[in-house]
Amino acid sequence: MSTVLIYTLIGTLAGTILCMIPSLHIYNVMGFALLLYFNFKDLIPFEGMAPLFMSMMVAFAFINTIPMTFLAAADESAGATILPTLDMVMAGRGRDAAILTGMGVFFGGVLLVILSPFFYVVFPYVYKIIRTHLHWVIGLVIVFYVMSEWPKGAGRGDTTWKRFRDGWRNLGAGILTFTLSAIAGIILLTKPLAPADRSFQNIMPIFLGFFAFPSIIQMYLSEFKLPIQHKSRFVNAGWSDFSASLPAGLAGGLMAMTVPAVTIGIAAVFASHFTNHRAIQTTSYQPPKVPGTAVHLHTPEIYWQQERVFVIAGGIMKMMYYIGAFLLMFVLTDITPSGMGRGGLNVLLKPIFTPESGDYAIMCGVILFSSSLSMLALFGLTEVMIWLVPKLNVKILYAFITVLLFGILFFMGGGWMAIAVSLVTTCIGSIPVFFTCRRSHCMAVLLVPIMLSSSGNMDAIARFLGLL
Amino acid sequence: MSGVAAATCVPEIVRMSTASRLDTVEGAASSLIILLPGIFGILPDTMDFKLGQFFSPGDVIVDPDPINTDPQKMAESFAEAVRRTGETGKPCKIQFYPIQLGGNLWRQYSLIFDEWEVKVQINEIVKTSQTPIPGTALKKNRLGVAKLPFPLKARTNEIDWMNSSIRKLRHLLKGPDAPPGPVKPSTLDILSGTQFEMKLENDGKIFFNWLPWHRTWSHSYVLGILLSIPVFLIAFLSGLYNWWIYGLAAILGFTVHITEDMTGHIGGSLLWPIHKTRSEGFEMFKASDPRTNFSINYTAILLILWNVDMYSIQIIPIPWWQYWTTFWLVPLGIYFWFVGKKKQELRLQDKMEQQEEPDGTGDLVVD
Repeated sequence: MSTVLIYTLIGTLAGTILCMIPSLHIYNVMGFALLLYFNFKDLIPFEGMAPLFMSMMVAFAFINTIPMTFLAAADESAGATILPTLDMVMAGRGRDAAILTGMGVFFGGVLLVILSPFFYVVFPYVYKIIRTHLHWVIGLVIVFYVMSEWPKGAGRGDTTWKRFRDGWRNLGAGILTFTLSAIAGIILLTKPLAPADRSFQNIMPIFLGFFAFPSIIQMYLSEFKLPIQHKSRFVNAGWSDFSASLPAGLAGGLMAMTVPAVTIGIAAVFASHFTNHRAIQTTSYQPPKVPGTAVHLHTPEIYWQQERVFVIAGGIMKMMYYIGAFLLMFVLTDITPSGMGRGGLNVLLKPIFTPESGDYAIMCGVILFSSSLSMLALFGLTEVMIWLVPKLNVKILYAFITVLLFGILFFMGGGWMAIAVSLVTTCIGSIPVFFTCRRSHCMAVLLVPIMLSSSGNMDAIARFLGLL
Repeated sequence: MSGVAAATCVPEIVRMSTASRLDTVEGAASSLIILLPGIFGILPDTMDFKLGQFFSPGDVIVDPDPINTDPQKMAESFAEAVRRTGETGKPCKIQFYPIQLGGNLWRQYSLIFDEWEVKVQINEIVKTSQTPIPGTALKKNRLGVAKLPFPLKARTNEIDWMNSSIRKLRHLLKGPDAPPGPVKPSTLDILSGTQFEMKLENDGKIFFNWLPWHRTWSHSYVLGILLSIPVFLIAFLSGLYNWWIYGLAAILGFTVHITEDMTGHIGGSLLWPIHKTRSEGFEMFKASDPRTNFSINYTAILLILWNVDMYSIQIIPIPWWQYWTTFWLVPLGIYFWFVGKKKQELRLQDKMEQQEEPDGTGDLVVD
């Protein structure tokens, strides 16, 4: 027991420190976690391994909220939370944004434990059914994700072509990002940079390029200055916001923890289509209240509640995606004797770690313990950040981070080749940043190759592209 | 989602889609055929919003100046479109564009219609989430009023055989229509604008048709069949086993979408290009009603899981009635009870809020 506690503490601490680096993607953190393991594997006992990784992920789910909120350092999951949080920060409510996200993450952790009977009794069947139809399930995710992005331009212009071009700015950029990311994924899967036992090194440069570096470029180009943040003993939300966040958080979270390569940025799009209940109380036209007007357009409180629901549900999804997907590895049943875990960490850990019955309960304990510690850390670090950021030159900070990330890439990610790959993916990852399409289009790097591999079409496509 | 659920009702589609590594399922071929109803299911709206709208230019354009917004000029533009239609007898389209003030900021405005008058009112600035920012309403010049040279009406009297059949069917399904009330104002804020088509009718009134490009040619069963012909052909020429089933899957996705849309208020041009008029819908649900959206999607997911299991690996250990009672009847019963209660609560809250306008700050309750 003491080993579990010690390694939960170490994991939470390591995760907390690591996740203060802006713009890191979860897959980068996994890479670091494995590097840590490979370098200290003789020192880490077998029973300490799972708590160490689990608590690092828990800390990531909580603490990456801070750079994402206060330094506008968006990773892919930002799609689920960043829009309202950035808005809240600019309105001086950054503390609310960070704490509410953290509370959502904590709520997600408690939900995972509460859902344990569901994971053991119902979920194995869903998992089994989906596993035998994974190729088209991922294919449908791709179809819906690409086709459900609608024009953001109003379609201005005196000719059809001009109107079409104006409306299609973001759509064209989205399709281009998706296609280039998919090709990058097929190339890197066919011609990996690193041997299989170091496969996380393939992921690191790709994801730093897709998400970290474009955010840094965006930061350099913008005139971001953190406004003065309000201090309050309370968080500006009601408990009903948590119950309203539950459907979206659960739907998105379950989807992200079940379907490979579906991250919360993507799952959030589906969950919001599926569960958004704002229209249950619509705007109404009332007699005028102000002289010189014809009507009073009344917007009900539920419209403002959506902002808070968005943030809390995003937190729940983060926990279910990052942690839930890993936790399923420990759900050993008659029809899933090897567990149901999915996600990069699960794949990378499988060769070196085998879960045993009874581990699930320990992992639930680790999640709750590490969540409590991380939540406390989030409270403290939010205050530190609010105090520190106005004093910092954010551009110098980002210059330092850029050097650090390049150093990590060079020494741990595979040398010059890794840097070259990250530069290519940076170009692709910058398209959504500058053309305001969805950043999660970059996830085609995993979605398309997984779909092609599981449907048995990967070789044909690779041959068509001249890769085989 | 519903189109995909409908496709899974065809056992052969599910068997073909099962991973070929499973030798227990006959005909398992790791096929991606189920993507076809998915693609064709979204296609009608894709064709409208990503294509059709750009081919429907406005004859009168209202693109307000974000700095010096002039509601009077906007109202007069509407009156001009009505005048043109009334005097020439030819249809006239008026296009209103949104007023964007920043990346996430938009100036909202409402169009308020009367039989002989139109008003344009400039409202608060809203975010992309459509929440207004309190205190951002203009201090002056918020309202423009223009008299109309011809009377307006929101529902057409000139109905053809298809519309009258749908009306009859609707009356059978849900009783007679409610007497026509005042036309609901239209509010514009984020992303795209809106368009109305004015048409002079026999009674001398101008029928103004909202989004004339939406649910017309794209929402046609005939077009669905035409678009699936290439799918049939490609499957046949590629020598695919069960080639006909690919086209069938595509048609299923397309037709389920159109049929579902018919349950709303705007129908579709069901037989375009044979019969081009856009019919009314059955008006059973509002397209924006989250309860319909949620329950249909949830049912579709359950149906997909059931069908996929039944026609492939067969591991669900309970009989159908137990499955549908446990996972459909009970959860949706609880859902509708809960949402009904919540709606009542919100209505009450809303009445109180109307006296004291919400400002988005909520109550400070989470300590």
